[in-house]
Amino acid sequence: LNACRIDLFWHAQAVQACLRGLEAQASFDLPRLNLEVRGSRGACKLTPRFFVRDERGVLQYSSLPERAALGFAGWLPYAGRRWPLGGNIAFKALCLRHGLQTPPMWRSPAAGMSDFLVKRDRSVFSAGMRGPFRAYRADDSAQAPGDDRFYERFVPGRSVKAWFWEDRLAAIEAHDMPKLTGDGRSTLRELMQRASRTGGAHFRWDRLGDLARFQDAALDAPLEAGRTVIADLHWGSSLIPSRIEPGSTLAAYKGSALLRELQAAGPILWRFLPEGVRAATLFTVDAILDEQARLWLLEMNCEPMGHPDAYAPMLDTLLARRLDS
Amino acid sequence: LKNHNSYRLGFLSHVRAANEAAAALGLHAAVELGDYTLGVSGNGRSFRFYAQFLHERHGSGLAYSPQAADSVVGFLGWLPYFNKRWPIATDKPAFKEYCRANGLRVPATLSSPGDDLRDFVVKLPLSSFGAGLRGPFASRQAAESAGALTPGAFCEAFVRGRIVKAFYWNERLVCVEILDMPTVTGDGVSALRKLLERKLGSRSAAGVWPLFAEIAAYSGLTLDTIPSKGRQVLADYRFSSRLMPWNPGNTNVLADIKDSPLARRLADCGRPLWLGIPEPLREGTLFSVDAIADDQDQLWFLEMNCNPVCHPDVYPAMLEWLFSSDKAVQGEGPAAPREAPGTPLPTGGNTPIWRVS
Repeated sequence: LNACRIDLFWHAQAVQACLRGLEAQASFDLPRLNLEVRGSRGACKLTPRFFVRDERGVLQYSSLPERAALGFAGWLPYAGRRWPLGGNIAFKALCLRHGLQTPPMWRSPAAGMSDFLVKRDRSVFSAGMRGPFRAYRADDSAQAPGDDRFYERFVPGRSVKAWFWEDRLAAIEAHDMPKLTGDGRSTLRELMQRASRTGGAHFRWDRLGDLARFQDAALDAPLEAGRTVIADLHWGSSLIPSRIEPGSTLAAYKGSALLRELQAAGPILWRFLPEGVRAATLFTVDAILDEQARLWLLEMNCEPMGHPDAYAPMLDTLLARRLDS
Repeated sequence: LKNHNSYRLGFLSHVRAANEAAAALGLHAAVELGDYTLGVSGNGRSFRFYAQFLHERHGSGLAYSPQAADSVVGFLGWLPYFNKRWPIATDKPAFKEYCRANGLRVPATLSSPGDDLRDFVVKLPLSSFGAGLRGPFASRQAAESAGALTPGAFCEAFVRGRIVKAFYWNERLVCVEILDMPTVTGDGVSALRKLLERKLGSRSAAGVWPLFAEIAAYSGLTLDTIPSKGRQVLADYRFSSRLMPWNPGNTNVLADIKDSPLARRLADCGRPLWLGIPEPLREGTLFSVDAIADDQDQLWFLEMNCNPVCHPDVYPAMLEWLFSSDKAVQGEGPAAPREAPGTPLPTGGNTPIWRVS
């Protein structure tokens, strides 16, 4: 986890860095933290969002900097924007139609279905996801089919999230799926709790158990000394060590095939948005970069967390077009 | 984020706390992104508050600065002035002397330890962020063989107990943080190093081991010793230890202890401590003191900080005083030095950009 991405300070720093080139000034008012940018080319107002957990411990966005806020999710020129793309299934269908690679999927249990995740068509923060599972078991309620469920081939690899402002790639974040190595004495659950930044609070043990079983391990059995297993698939897993790296993410991937591929995908993905919401919109795409460096697109998010690197194209657009939220 | 408490170093925590304090008094507040100053106005008054940031520079430790740069690891809060300093907050022996003269308990100190000195730490008179802090040592011989008795250093009796950090706005106690000295408990199987690694979790770092080895030696152990099952071993005694339990929430316990003898003692000490600030600087000042609360909740004062982290819970008292007291001087105050955007931080040495006590 790059802590800069959920920290109000680093978002403010990113905005400030843009101001120099735009000959602009900015301030945010209290209590709502609405950001006002004023420059020679125009002015715009951006609204903030914050991460909170609901009473079930599920992550949500809030527009208020309430006491329970866990972090800052960025400023956007709109308060909420969704589009009738459908869900993850529709996104995958669009990818296939436009030649973008996405893992195979099944709408219902099928013969030969193996190494799969169970996902919900419409969910945020991976809510409802289970697995991976080696093979379908009809007696496992976690694998039961449902109207909103589908099955997707599990692709191990590097987790990638790409931010797009309109058709322009704005930021890339990627990390290896967190792994743990056994010491022959500690159970996998104990290893996870020790390695967690939060001591294991908010772990979804059912999912972690799925992943352990998929690798022929178990949460409550000692993990053999020297054996390494993938410990979590969740993007914001507390098993990923916290770091502070405020630099530009696109600069970090300069010259890479991943950067070229995502830049090329931007205009195609942007056209997935209905025409009426295309202008001045931030969206993200989740993907996996597998061991053969193939990129597999998983889903598109219309209400993503913001990214500090997104302010440069965002403010450039907003001030140039004199848009005002 | 490297601290055990991200609440008081989090920019969002400060924004929220300053907002709540301003709103409670019917004031308007806004933050300028150019220099992160906080402007608060209302009731016919206005004040500008200057931001400070905590930086971590590779190889040269922590520093405070008004500059926001890529090396920032925390937000230190806003103050309505910049860089007030006074003698008893910058010189530890001077603070001890002032405390003794004013009936405030301090651990015994010696500039040169005798052969019979037991259980002490070694400190530098003018250091910040625990720089130069060594020990604890059981004997003079132990300190000598560790090379801790450097010129200019002084010895201070090591008092075990709970670590207390108290914040005062003028003479008023506004925030208290209390932490137990970290310990690990033997399981009869694991070496001390392993027990410490488990407690450190993801906060482990190569540079911590010489310090832990020195603390282990005080208990007669090495990092490779296997403590017997159930034996509790002192692991650290510093407020900012990486071994402190991770706590993302508010660690101010003043409301929890408000009717306790310890809280009364801390509150009573506010005025004599505040009077140690030279009169021209005294009004409208934030300071903190570090102390140890022993088994009987007696306080042993260690040092005073003239440029402390401004805990978010300080803002209500600060704003209330500024917007109501006849002694509050309204306006811009002495501004923090401004650097051109992108100016690199000073590098080299182990000295903060300006010294903090």
